[in-house]
Amino acid sequence: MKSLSLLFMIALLFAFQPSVLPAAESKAEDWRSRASVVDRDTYSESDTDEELNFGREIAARLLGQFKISSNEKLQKYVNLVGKTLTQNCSRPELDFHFVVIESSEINAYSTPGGYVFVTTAVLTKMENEAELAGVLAHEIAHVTDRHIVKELSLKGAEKSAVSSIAALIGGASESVGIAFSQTVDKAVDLILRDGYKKEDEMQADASAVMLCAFSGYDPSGLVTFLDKIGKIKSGVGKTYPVYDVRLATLQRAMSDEGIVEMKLALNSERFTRIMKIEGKAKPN
Amino acid sequence: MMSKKLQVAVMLTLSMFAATSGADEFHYNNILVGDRASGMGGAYTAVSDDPGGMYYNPAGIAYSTGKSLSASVNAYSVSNRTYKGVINGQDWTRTSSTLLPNFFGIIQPVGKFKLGFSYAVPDSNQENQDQSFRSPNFYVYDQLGGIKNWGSVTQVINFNNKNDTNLFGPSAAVQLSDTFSIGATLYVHKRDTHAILNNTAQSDNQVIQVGANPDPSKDEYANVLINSYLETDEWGLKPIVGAMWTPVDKVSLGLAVSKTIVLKSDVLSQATVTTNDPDFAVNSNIRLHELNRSNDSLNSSSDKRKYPYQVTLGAAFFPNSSLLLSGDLSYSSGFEYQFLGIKNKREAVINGALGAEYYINKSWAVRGGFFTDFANTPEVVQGGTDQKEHIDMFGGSMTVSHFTKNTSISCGGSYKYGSGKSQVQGGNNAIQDASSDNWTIFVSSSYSY
Repeated sequence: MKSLSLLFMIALLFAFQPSVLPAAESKAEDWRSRASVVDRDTYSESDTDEELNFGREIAARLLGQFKISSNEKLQKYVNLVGKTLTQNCSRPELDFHFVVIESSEINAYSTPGGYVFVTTAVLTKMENEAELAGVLAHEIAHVTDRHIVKELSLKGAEKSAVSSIAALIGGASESVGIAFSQTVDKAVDLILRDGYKKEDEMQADASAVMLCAFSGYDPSGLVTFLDKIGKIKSGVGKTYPVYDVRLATLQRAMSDEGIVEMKLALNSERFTRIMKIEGKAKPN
Repeated sequence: MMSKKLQVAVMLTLSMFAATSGADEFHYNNILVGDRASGMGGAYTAVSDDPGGMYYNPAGIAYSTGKSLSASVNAYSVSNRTYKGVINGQDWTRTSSTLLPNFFGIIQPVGKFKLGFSYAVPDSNQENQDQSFRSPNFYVYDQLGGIKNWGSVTQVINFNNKNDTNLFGPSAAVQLSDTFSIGATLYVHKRDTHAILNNTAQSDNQVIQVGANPDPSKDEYANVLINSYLETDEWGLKPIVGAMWTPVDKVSLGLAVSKTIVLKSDVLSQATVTTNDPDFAVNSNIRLHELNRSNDSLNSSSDKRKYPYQVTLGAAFFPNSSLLLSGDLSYSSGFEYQFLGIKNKREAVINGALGAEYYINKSWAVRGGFFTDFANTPEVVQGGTDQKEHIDMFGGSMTVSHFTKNTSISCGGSYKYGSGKSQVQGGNNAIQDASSDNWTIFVSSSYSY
């Protein structure tokens, strides 16, 4: 009976503590990660192959949920802007694909391996090519910085003797295939529902403005776009983090990099012309 | 040869094992379980974020990373227990060695949950012992209730003992918030024991006349053989429920509660005593051994052992990605039960463990730990009889791990030692000094994909 009382008291202690004490500042998964995992920033060819397979699978799932815009000229234009940016990105081994999808949600998505999707709704909120470049560069940064790959610990198969022995002792088996499918599900949830980690979004913003600047686009394009989106009350994808914080962080990053005052191409006229000629992509 | 089957075995010097155990039921940290946990002295309740967590604190697997993770441990364990001066000043040593798959576990995320399955062997003994003793005087009871001296004898103890506890079952865990998770493991408990004891003594001097007529050519030296056998087949459940809480950044607190409940127990026992000395007599006041029963037929029983409630509180500090410090305090409740007519009493025990993990670089890590393994028996006191041995133990462990991208291999070992008191001769109030040690080496591997 004494034992049960002790158990009960300890259980109560645990049950009530989370609500009365302040929460931890960062996710436990982050500081629990050990050096063998968090410092593993080198990626082999097999990792990239796995990333491409994985990204292709996710892209297929996304395309099963959205309709591709039939506006070929608009698709071509978005691809041209995107390809211009990827000329300067840090992962030349990837072949990026840019797709406009019909959706009333103001959002953009990217998958590992280089598939980038922008909705027709998000295009209607843009005023120049620099803003489009900013959004595309943000999605490219998620890919080049491997945010999903890291979040889901995606790795290619190892061929070394040590890993083969370890796999044998460790009981690796055919469940690898099952795990792949489950991870794709998780990635789709992350892209469409849960969103990236806050720090990943901030990092993608910072990388995006640098990529725009390197590619000749005015880095303020992303800032003006985010500022605009932050004031819209509805229709914005719920995976975006708080805009005030995000904008402040982005402007600080731009200041640190010395690109705040940089005046580069906005290409407003070209953007407006394309959008007008193509009848302005309208959300469904 | 004159043979006599006795209802109750009686011999003074042969009445060993009265207060010893087939397996090490008197301690709770017999074999460290798990990959990282073994290296950290078992201080893992607040860490538990890999397959080993299913054994220590299932709530921790909610924080496991990777799509899927499996881990296994194979261990070679050797135990020695020495009872000082038991027979005519000679020590009696029991040695167990066993090679066993100590742990296997796999975790996969399913939606918001982490599900897993694991197999653990927290206790395993395998003894195959032969030891002979010389005694200048060997006393047995005679038929008039007096004591008869056979003079000098050669005594041989042959003891074969196998005792394995296996746990296997599923686990599930979920994060209820960024700072709080819960989890549970439901182990099937399966314990098998087989113990065979042959204990013989032959006198060098005491001559027994064989046959009705005196014929010195047929005389034999007095001898006695005691044989006992015990087999148990035990099934039960061991639920483990756990919680993990992050009060502040980089600090984790863990709580795990478990209890083994025996649902079914089949026990077979047998004891025979054979001697050629017609004066050899029964004295039921002397218990020879817990294993021995009163006749040579197989006795069956469904007596169930009991096990304690175990509550473990752990704390861990993750100052950076290279260093991890952890500590556990584990409370095991006291309890009593009857098994084969003998009352077993265990006292409440609190054990502690401290562990550390340090990554030299991203490919190599070392782990070390210290732990206690205190006896759950009462202190052995003067004047008592049939008291269980009481040996408090202290130990340490260490492993070295090598990491590749998806895998890790660890090699290491643990050692523990303790000394205390025992009373191995049934019905005798003599107390012996006793010591015990155990060393285990293990190789483990984990694989994520």
